[in-house]
Formats: sequence, structure tokens, C-alpha cells
Amino acid sequence: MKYALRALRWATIILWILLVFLVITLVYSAFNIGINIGESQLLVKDDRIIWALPARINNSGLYGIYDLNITTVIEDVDGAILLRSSSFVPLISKEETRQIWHNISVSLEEIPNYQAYLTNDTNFIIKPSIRLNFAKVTPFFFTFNSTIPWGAPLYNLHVDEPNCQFNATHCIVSLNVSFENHSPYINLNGTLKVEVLNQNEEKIGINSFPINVPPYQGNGNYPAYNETLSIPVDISKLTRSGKIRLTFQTSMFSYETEVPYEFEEIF
Amino acid sequence: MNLKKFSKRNISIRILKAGVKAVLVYVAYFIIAHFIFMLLIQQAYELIGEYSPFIEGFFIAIAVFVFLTEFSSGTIFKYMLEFARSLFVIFYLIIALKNGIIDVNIQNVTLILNLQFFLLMLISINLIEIARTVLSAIDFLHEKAEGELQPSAGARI
Repeated sequence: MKYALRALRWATIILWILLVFLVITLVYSAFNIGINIGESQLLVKDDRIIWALPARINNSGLYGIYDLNITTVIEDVDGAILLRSSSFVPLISKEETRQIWHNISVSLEEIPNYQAYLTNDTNFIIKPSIRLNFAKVTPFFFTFNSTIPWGAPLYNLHVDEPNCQFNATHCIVSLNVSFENHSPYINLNGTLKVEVLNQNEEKIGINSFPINVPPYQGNGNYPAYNETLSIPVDISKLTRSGKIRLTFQTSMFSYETEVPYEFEEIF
Repeated sequence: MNLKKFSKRNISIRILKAGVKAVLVYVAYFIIAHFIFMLLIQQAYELIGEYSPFIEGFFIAIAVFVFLTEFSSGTIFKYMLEFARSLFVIFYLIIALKNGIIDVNIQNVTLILNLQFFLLMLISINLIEIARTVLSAIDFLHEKAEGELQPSAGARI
């Protein structure tokens, strides 16, 4: 009995020593991890906006960092997930310094209902999170959320009622289009295609106009577009009512809207 | 149970001895806690701040157990109290550490720390302690029974 009791006492002592040693070395190691987050970079490439966040992790502790997973989720104000981006590092060994780039690459057309965000300013909720397993015994999860404003590139898109001016064979439909670019990221450089359709959905006039509206610089003065557009229309196919289709085509997105017309005075 | 040991003088000495031990345990807690909190940065202190009543309550309970165990030393109650203390520690740790998942929410920041490995180690230590207490109790009763038998055996010789 005495030997069994002595063995159990020693087992308890050894386990306590191990536990205390593990806790002290883990705390020491955790305090010796250096994380330097660099300045984020915003790149606009082809049809994508890329937000790149560099981080430098210097593990001077006694244990490795396993399964490091950095995830960023972007949600709309109703909590619907618009975008999710992850960076995974399987292991940062002790005494190792690792440079990590966490990239969030977004194409507007990949976002559900993205057309609503082209004409309306809103707020997005950005939720970065870090998940890791320190020394394979201490899983750790950290997250926070912050709000970023979203500026619509076609904010307050307004198309005036079209009017028609005649000559012998054609009529010139003219309409005024205006909007403001509230986006600090998107340079609106592309074309605005205008199509006039009669009651039978036949294209009776078409014209393209270049658009070039720079991104918002954050100085309170939003770059604006305000032009009167003229489209020659085949008078033989012109009907009393119909619609005008406007298509904005840029490298970032394509947006289509329609306005009805009614030329009562002609018929 | 040898209640004859509990004479008036003996009780005073036991209470004094048990009281001193309990106070020493509680003072040790204050020194350790103060030392740990001194090492922590302000943010970390805020994070574990909500656990300070749990930690304090735990050490008060341990001090009470130390007092009662010391007071009842030399009796079977000592082993019963040691057994109860180990069980208390196991359940207290499970409840206080929320099954080993520490979840802290401050404003819009969430931090989750999984301490299940450490909880498992602490439970293992206390289970070994329970086994040791049970064996010690059996040993105590065995020795007591032997002690009661020896004088009668001697008388026969």
C-alpha cells in the first residue's frame, strides 16, 4: 500500500511540474511572438479590386504556430455574406520569421445583387478573423468587426425625359444623363451605349458615348457626369411609345437600365 | 474514529494550527495573484478581469478545505474532506473554465481560447489525487484496525 501511495504522490508531483512548465513556457513563447502588420495596398487590376494586407510574423517562442488561418468576411448591413477570403499557413516553426500576404480580391460581378451597390451608397461590415493552434495544445480564435463605407460609382443616376427633334428622314432623340462617382476605388472609364427601342422591341436607334469619371478623392467634391446624349432614330419605325436602354460598360462592371419614352406630340 | 484525541486543549491547538495553515494558503494566493496581475498588460487584465471573482472564490474554498482537513487530521474525516476537495476542484474548474472554452467579448472583439488540454490535465491530477485519498483512507483504517488488535494479541501472550 505504501508503495502504491508513494507512486501516486510522485505521479501527481510530476504532472504538476509538467503542467506548470508547459504553462510558463507557453506564456513566455506567446509574449515572444512578434506580429507586424504593414500598410495595406489597394490595387485595381482588370476587373478586380485587390486589397492586400502584408503581415510579418516572427516566432521567437519555444513552440510552433500551427494551422494559421486568416479569413476576411465582408457582409452587407443585413448580414448577408458578400465575400469571403482566406489565407492559410500550415506551420510557422520556432525561430522562424514568415511574411504573409492576405489578399482580398473582389470582382463586382461576383457579389450577389451587385447592381444595387452601383447606384446606392451603403456600409459594408468587414470581419477579419485569425484562427491558429499554438504548440498544438492551445487552439485560439480572434475576430473583430468594423464598418467600411461603400460609395456607389453611379450614385444618383438620373435620366431626364427624352425629347425628339425632327428632320426629313430622321429624328434625333436627346436625353440628359447625370450621376456622381462616390467610389474611391473605381475609375469609370468605358462606354455608355444607348439604344432606342420601339413598341415592338425593334432597335430603331443606337449610339455609344465614352465616359471617363475619375474616382472620388475624398475631398468632398464628387466627380460628376452630366451630359446630354443624342441618338439618331429611324423615323419610319418610330412608335408613339417605347423605351430607351442605357448600358454602362466598364472594365469593372456592366450596368443596364431602361427608361420609357412617349412622344405624344408627334402622333 | 478516534474522538478521544479531541480534548479541549487539543481542539484549541488544532484550530490554531488549521487556522494558520488556511491563512498561509490565502496569503500565498494574494502574493501569486498580485504577482501575475502585475505581469499582465492592461488589456490582458481587462480580459481576465471577469474571472477574478471565480479565482478569489476558489482560493477561499481551498483555504476552508485546508482548515477543515487540518482540523480533522488523524481521523477518517480528513480523507473524506480531501476526497470532497478534489471533487470540488474538478467541478469548479469545469464550470469556471466553461468546459475549457474561454470566450471573451469586448465591444466588437471576440476572443476564444481553447484550454481543454489544460483542463484535462488538471482533472487527471485531481483524479489521481482522489485515488490516492481512497488508498490513504484504506491504509488509515487498516493501520487503525491493526493498532486495535495488537494490545489484545499481546495480552494473550
